[in-house]
Amino acid sequence: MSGVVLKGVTKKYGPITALRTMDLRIEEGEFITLLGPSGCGQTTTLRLIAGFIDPTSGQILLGEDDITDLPPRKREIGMVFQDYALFPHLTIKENVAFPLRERKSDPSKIDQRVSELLDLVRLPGVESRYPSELSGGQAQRIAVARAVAYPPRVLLMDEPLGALDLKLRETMQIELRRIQQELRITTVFVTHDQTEAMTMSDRIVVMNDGRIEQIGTAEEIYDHPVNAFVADFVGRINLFDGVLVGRDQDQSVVEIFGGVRVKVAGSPSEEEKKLCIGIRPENLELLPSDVGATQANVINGTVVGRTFSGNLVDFYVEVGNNQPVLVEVPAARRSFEVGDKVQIVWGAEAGVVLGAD
Amino acid sequence: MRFSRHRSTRLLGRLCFYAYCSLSYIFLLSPIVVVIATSLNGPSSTSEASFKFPPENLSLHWYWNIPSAQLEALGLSFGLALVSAIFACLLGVPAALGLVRSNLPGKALIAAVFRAPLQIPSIVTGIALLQLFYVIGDATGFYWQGTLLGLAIGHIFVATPFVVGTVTAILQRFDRRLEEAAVIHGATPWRALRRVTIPVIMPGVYAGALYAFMVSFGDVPIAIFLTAPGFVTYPVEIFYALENDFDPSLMASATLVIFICLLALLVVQKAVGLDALLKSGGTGSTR
Repeated sequence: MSGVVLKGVTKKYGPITALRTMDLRIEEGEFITLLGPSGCGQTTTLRLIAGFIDPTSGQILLGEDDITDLPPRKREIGMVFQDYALFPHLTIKENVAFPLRERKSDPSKIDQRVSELLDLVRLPGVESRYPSELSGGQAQRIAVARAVAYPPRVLLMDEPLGALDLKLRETMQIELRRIQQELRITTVFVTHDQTEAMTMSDRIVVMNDGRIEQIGTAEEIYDHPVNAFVADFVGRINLFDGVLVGRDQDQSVVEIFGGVRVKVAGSPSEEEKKLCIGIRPENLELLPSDVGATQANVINGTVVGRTFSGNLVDFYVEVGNNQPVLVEVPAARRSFEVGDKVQIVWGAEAGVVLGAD
Repeated sequence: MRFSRHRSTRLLGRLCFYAYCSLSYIFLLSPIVVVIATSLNGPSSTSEASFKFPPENLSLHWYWNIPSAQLEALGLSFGLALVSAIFACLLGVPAALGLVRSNLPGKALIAAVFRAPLQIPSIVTGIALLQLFYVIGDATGFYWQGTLLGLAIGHIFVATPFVVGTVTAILQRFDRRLEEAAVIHGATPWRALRRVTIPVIMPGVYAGALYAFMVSFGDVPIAIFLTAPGFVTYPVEIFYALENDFDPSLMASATLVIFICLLALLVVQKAVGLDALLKSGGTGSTR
């Protein structure tokens, strides 16, 4: 097992740049997720590590070894594909044994290894079936078993859960994480589902338009996004464009909506005048308009929409002529109707300052 | 929800549907039924009486009187069709792989060349090959007409496009990730081809081979130029028999062939399934 290092890796397709000088160090045994909208370069990164495509420039290291020019079969990598890519004409046993046979394992030990692997993915006894006889979740487990059969130095997963329904996807997230922890295997996981990324990963690499926007743990990225793209892509957030108008101790005073002044903890490093502040909808609170508010920031508005999702209620509150502000309230709390006049209140520490786009 | 349409209208629609289906079947099957039935006529003095439909004096008389030349020709045709199908696959499968997978300039042109035998009337192909064989014969002293080699070349020429077509069709639907999965898990490109690609496209190969077999087996226009006395394929032998000594033994031998073909189809269906054949629909075009 080994870590993976990308050194200034660039991939161009003619005039189109799919990946811009990517530098990334993946630690040994780490579960790292490349997260971003489809086509942002995450799959390109994965295919570069696999060796299906060659970088235009840069270097890829596996442990201490430079694998940039090595063909895929010599990289000792395991991979789980979108839609699994199980061999339809081979039985489950032959599918799982494929890497063992191709990598010349001792034939007398193959049967035992296959049954160990099926135990690992908790699907024993399916050796003689064919992939078409498996459900999506089962096929997924077999794809994992095949990928780790001949212990790979790195495990790559390309949106492996995309084809499953929500309930199964949640189960498989936990299963994949368990298997990864059991084997302590370096894993690179690609997804565009931020919940998936947050529940499974040690670290998340948020990517956009062929470059890395931010690298960090789920908490770091959720609580301290470095820019509006990350804040918006990971979780839900209200973004307000504003102008820095002053300082109040360690707080910044920002004018938004062309006149409303709000306070935000911290201050932009440079003297940027234009900036963007982001506030997660669960950090906002709603009060009736006739109650005196004690929080640092108060804006008056009107409820223009509400959606109920079981444990939560989303309120859309219109403030002036701007895009409605999203406020997330636990369903048990007091409720408002569409048309009610309300106050949106929040503390200065609830918002984050982001650079303007 | 309640449909406003009357039950009687729906019944009428259904009847029309059944009638249409029945007519289609009658159209397709009646010639075969006539052939089989006529072959069962008993022996009689006049030639007209021997071709009665429905048959009189049911008997297998004519089956015992199939001329041995027809049976020999049948053997030759089977062998020839088998050889043609095998060589059509050996040429057609790599051609299809190249056409679908490569970035060759002029791919469309190459694809057109591979389809060309289908667009030339077989009779022209037959004459052209005969002419070619004369030229080759004059130059080398080896005349290929009237040999298995010459006939096989003609049949492989017309049969290969069918294999190219079915294999191309199945390759275009082939999931390239299967090959990537093979390669990343340790297979060399050659092993990936042998253990993954070829087995997965095999239904297309079988379908193409079956087409190739049938094209060769049923061919008259090419074979009629390239056969020689004592070396005649079954359809050509039947053709001569129709011209010269026409009697119900012809129907008997035709019936025999029908049942052999039926049996062969059943075996193929059992072994590989004909779904691929039906789905690939003959000669798919290359994108």
